[in-house]
Amino acid sequence: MSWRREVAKFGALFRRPKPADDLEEEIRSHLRMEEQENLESGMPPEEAHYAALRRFGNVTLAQERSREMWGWDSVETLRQDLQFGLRMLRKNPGFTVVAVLTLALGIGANTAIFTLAHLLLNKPVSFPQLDRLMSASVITPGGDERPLAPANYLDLRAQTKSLESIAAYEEWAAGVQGQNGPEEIRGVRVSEGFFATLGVQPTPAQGRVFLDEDHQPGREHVVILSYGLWQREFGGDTHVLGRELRLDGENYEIVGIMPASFQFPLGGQQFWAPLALSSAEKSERAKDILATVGRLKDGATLEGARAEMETVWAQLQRQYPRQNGERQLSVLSLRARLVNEDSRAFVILFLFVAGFALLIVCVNVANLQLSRAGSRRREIAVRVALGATRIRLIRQLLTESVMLAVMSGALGLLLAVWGVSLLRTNLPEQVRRICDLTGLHVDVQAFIFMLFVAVASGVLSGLAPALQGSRMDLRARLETGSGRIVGGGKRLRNIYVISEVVLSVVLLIGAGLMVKGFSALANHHPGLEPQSLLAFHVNLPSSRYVGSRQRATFYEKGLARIKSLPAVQGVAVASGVPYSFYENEVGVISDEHTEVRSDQAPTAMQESITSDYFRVMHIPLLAGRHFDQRDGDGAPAVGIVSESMARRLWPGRAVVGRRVKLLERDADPEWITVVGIAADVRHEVYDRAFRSILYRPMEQAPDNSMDFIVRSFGEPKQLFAMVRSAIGEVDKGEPVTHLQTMAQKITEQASALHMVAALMGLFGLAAIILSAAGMYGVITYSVTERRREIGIRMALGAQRAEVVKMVMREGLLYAVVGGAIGMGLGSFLARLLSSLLYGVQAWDLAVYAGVPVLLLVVSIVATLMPAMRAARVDPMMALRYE
Amino acid sequence: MAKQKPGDRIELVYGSLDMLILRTLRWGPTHGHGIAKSIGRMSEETLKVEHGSLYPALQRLQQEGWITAEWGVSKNKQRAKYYRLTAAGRRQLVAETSRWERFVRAITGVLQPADIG
Repeated sequence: MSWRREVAKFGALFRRPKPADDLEEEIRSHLRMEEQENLESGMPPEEAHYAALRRFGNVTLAQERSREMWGWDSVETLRQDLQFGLRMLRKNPGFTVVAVLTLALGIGANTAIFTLAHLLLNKPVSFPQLDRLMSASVITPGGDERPLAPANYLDLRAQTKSLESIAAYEEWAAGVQGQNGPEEIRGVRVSEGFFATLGVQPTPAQGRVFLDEDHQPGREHVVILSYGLWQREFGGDTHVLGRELRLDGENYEIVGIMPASFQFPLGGQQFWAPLALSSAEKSERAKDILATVGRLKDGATLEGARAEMETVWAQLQRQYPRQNGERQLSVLSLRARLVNEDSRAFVILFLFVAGFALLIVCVNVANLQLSRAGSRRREIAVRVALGATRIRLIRQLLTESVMLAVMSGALGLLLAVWGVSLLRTNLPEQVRRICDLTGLHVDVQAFIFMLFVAVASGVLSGLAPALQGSRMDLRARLETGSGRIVGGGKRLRNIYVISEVVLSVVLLIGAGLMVKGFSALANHHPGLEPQSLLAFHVNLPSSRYVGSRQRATFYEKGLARIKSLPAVQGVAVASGVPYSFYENEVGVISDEHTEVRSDQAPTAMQESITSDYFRVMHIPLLAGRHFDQRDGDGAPAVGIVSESMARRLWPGRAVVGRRVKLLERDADPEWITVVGIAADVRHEVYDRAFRSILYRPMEQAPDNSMDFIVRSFGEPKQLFAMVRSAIGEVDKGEPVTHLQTMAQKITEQASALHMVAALMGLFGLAAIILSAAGMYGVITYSVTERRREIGIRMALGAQRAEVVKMVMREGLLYAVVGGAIGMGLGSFLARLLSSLLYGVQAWDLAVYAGVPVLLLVVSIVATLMPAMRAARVDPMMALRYE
Repeated sequence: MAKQKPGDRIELVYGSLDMLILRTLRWGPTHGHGIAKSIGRMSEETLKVEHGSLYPALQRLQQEGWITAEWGVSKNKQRAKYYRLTAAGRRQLVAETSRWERFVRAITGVLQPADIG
């Protein structure tokens, strides 16, 4: 195909008259000339005319082939196909509506999920040249990721050459005075060069980033607001620069406002303040507080930077073995750091479910198209007779199918927009934690994805019907009466119905197992009686609470006031109550194994508690005693261990009176004497085993960020307001955060998985309804086809009941075959799910028995009506019917 | 016109039709009918050309830029579309002719190997 021709053709598209148009006149003149010659050589007029025509050959064919030379075949035929397809769709509103709706749902759901997946996986944050950004952290011997200590950060910064810049940051939850009382807002303290490293800054009219002198201790009372905070608290006041924001009781001057698109690290930071380290803090090598972000130099690679930093780290390990010895450096790209395993798994699960649903929809639409193809046999036959090739037919049928799908896709896009806005506001906390959802909308990429999915669905659902419908057994088509299906169609429809049944059974089994598993997890909280518990969190900033004595006073007053409330059974304080995402793993050394290496030491979670903690939590004490007034600050260090920890550290032996030491890196830790053993309690929904917990008395290990736990008489929710005001009486500027009942906390933790299970269940139900519809359609069709046979049977004496049984047997056969295959495949899925998801069992009687029963019921309902209709067939009419 | 048996006429190989048309136009612009007649005459009616099959070929040759077309008036005072060879068409004709001659020599060589010398 020469390009010259293509260009000529393209040009001709726009010329008027089209080159092919005056062809008719030209051919006429040709024929006239030939006729003239014939006349001159003596033919009679009529014979001359016909001789000329014969000599010419097929006029129409010549015209068509000439036109073909000029026309852009594909475009012309495409337009024809589309027009025809639209007309056909209008003529069959029933089919069109059902197909469009189901396709729209499937495509829309996939597009919405894609938007979420895209956001989660690809742009958790968006900065210029995101790929040049990296982040360094340390890994503890237990495998936990921790930020860097300031001294280590500064050393790495000074000695690494492959980075253009590196900055550190620390999260800061600050108390502010909101409209309804004290609130907590989350912000970040950032080091020099933070904004430059990320490559962002406020628009010039909206202030500046921090200068170097802002990072000097004493000079750090400046703040940059987030766009959201500026709008919410200051109403977007353009003269806000220079005003002050009161954080944790101190005034901070507002010097800048970040643009709306800026979010870092994640999860709704409202403000940024300078990090000002005193020289003492700068040489702190044991406290891991600084997360880092760095920009690679032009030309440097991540691997190169990593190698260099690891060399520097190795030297730091040699120089400071106690603090750095067993910590490994981890250097990742920023994107890798922000997208973790959990979110990936979550997203993939969602994508899988959505894709599955779309598959079911496609199968259903294919089924619909197959039945429609049956009624178009005559039309196809005529086309074939007029010279259409099979390819041409297939192209036409596929075009119609894709057009249908794209139309549905447009509707699906609308549904996706709605779905996405729903997702934006209703995704569980766990997802918000890892990703900023304000960027979740349907954008160009989602649109392209929608097109792609629509075309794919169109092809998928249209291919088999197209192949089937274009079969060229012309004679059979034209001969048979309209009530009979050409052989192969039936087989294909059978396959479709059975596969629909299989898909829905598999989905239902998966969903059922997940629902059972997750609710078991959520309801299974050994060691806890959550019904009458509530908890909340306080954060005592060092700016207002200097020293542990002031903090201890706060707790004492708080406990006293809450205890005095009428509906309160008991109240205690702990570093982190169960189901609050509390983590604090430390290495421990028992007095029996003092020689164990620190990177192989067992770990335990450390918690500081007040003496009533176990009583309030209804955690039985298995040995020894509770903490009491003896265990004050300065008294011998004591601790209570959890049952599992006792078993792990001193298997089979008496534990009370033994000693442990915490592996701390700054001071020489003291020996802690074990004075009691507490029963195990599970801390997170996903914990597979009970954690080792070491409880310390609050006075000996004070913390500035603690949870209050309250047990009430009766419904805990009624205490919410009173608890808040009780704390307000102690300190009116102190925000109370995460005020929830324990039941709410547990549900929230499991919420993401509940959502997936619910979705799967929804899809499963939709799938089985679709299968029922498919079954109904096929049986109805089959009944229509077998009318004569039924008529004959009845004429020969068959009873109505027999006819009904005969038809229902056919339907139930689908259910049985599909159900068997589905159960088989479903058990594979079950095994996969149970290995991937904790809490999901591979076998559950209720599910494996319930799904077949549901299938049976649905099949009976679906086949009953056609069966009844079959029984009403009048033998006389049937025999006459052709 | 003398009637000939169908078997005496050889079906034209597709593509060589282009060459024949170009060749015909070498002697000046002609209309479609005239081209058909020329080909028939020059080949002593051996080459069967359905007049209708010229027209798609003429369109194609126009697209390639080897011929151009213009409406004119024939000797019988009738409107007809006249085709003429372009410079590029002339070059194409030379190329095609030599290719065809090579082809013919090759076939001849196979059919009468003893005569090659």
